[in-house]
Amino acid sequence: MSMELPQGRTVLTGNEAAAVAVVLARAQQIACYPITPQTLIVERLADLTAERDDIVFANLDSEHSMFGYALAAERAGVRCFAATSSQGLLYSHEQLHRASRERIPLVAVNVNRSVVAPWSLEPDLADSMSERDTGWIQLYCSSAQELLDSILCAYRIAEEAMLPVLVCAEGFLVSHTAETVDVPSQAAVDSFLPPFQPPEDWLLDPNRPRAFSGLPEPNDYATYQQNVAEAHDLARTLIAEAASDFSAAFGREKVASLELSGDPNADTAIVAIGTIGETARELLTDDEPPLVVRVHAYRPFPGEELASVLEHVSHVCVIDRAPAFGAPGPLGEDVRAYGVTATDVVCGLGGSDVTPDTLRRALAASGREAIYLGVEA
Amino acid sequence: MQEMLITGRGGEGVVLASQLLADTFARGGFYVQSFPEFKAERRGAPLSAFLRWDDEPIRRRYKLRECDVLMSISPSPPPARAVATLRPGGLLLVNRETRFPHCGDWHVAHVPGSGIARRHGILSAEGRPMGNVAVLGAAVKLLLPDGLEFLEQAIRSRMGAKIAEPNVVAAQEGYRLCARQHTVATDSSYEPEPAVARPPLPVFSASFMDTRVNNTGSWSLERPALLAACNVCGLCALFCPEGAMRREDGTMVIDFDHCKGCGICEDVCPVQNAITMEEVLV
Repeated sequence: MSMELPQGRTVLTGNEAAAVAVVLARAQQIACYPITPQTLIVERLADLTAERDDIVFANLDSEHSMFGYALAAERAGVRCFAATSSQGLLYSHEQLHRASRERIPLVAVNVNRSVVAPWSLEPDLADSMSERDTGWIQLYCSSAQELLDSILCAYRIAEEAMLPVLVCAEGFLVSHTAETVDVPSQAAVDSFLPPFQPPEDWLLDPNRPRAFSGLPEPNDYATYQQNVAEAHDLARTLIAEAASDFSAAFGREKVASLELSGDPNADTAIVAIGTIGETARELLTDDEPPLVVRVHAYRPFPGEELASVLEHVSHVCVIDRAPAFGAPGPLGEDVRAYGVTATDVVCGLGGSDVTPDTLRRALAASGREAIYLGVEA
Repeated sequence: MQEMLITGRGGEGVVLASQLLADTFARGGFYVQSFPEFKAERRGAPLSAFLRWDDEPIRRRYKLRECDVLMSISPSPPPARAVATLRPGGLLLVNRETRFPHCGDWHVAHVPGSGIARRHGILSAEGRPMGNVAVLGAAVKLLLPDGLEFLEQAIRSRMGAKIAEPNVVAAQEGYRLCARQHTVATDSSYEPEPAVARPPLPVFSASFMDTRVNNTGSWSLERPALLAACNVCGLCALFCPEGAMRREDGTMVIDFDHCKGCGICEDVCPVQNAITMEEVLV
């Protein structure tokens, strides 16, 4: 069934908003392998591209093949898209490493879902946080609107930094939640996002046959890694510029790396990521409201910016929606790495509900080791 | 902000109903948020969807604990645990031909959603009437009285023309036939009474230690009942795909914790009037 691109203010699920963004971004090759809760992205992209001969929609035989296909197509100078969740992302692990060091600016969506064992379809961030060291930029969205907007920004950031971007949003809480979304016009998107024009010497060219990523000398190998680290440092600025340009072009605020809500001089702060960062705003009407910091860009981690925001806060509570066994949760570890003393609370695992009360309990806790909340008998 | 809980069974269009209503409120100028509660359950399983609407953008992201409106899509009575989430003074909207016999500290309205659907040939693949859109007509009457046109637009934008038209008519009829009831007394101990005494519906729970405690019987829309003519031949046990029937002490015993109500036992039974399928109440 072919489907028209929605326009203006409408109601879309997160998955639908992602599919719409990909078409608006003029992705030319869409590599697909469905998995719950990402499936509706694939279905809607199939609907939206059914009668278009300018977009290739490819069903692949696994997530591993999907990433392999998309990475190769990018290298031929084609803007691509891929999407997955949970086990699918983990199955693609080695392709993810390759993407960043080969400097392939692929944009992929990961609809966050917890990881086996035991099996669950429900959200937590263990899948993409397990891939945090693969060299991808990671952006975490907390609404359908932010997912749509971030995919548009992601193509610009990816192609300027020549780094892959994983745009993440929690399954069901974002992917299956239908909500009010403003869909920008194609003309507005076209003037924000230029066509993909990678450097000539980076492209696959049949007239200039050569090998990529062959067996370099140790020092050259290390240079590959260092280049990616430097590109991440540059990406912090690119993320901020893209957000600022986006806000100006589309007339709605686009979060860059961090979203701050509440009194910056508050004595306590909650640092969270994804939808928990939205729910935490409900605490702003409490008697002693915390400063709420929602991390949008997780890699590159906005550590300096965060440390400066939290400099005068006496109690910092970091909420992790992913476990890291034998250590604090991933976000907690990152916050502490920049010299911030923080309590790390792990909650919301496997889709367990995180309410304002969960967060009040988290704020009341303190300790050096990760505290697991919300585990009920 | 108003919060609504929508209950029903997988396949009755609960999720679609919540999205259509979200779309309707959005067309009426509200910010909306609609999401289903997904579990490892399928067609026939009890499920819920949530809907929030407000003048301001909605940023909270967690399941409803309490609601202002409970809308029951199923023709069977709403589950007691759902009714318990209604805030005092809230609204209970049920899919029913007749007056709802229970009362509490909430307003009640009923609409003959299934009857309307049957009249207009809006049926599921199994031939059951899909009363969801007719119930939405009633919801719009009660919650957004000027919004029938928005509901019609939402239906047309989310359904193909062939399906949309009878549904638009069903929505209009639901709007018209919705009856508000006056609450006469307070009875907070609501318990739906089944027409016939049956074993209670199991509650689905999942375990990764032992799958036998996963009570998939909660998914059943129908369940077999053994009649006097049963000669305990055991053929049903042989064919039961769930292993939910067994011969024990000279009778057949049915494990309702795992029977999904597929009806294969009734099909393969060689004896007349030995097994019948009965509707299960949520």
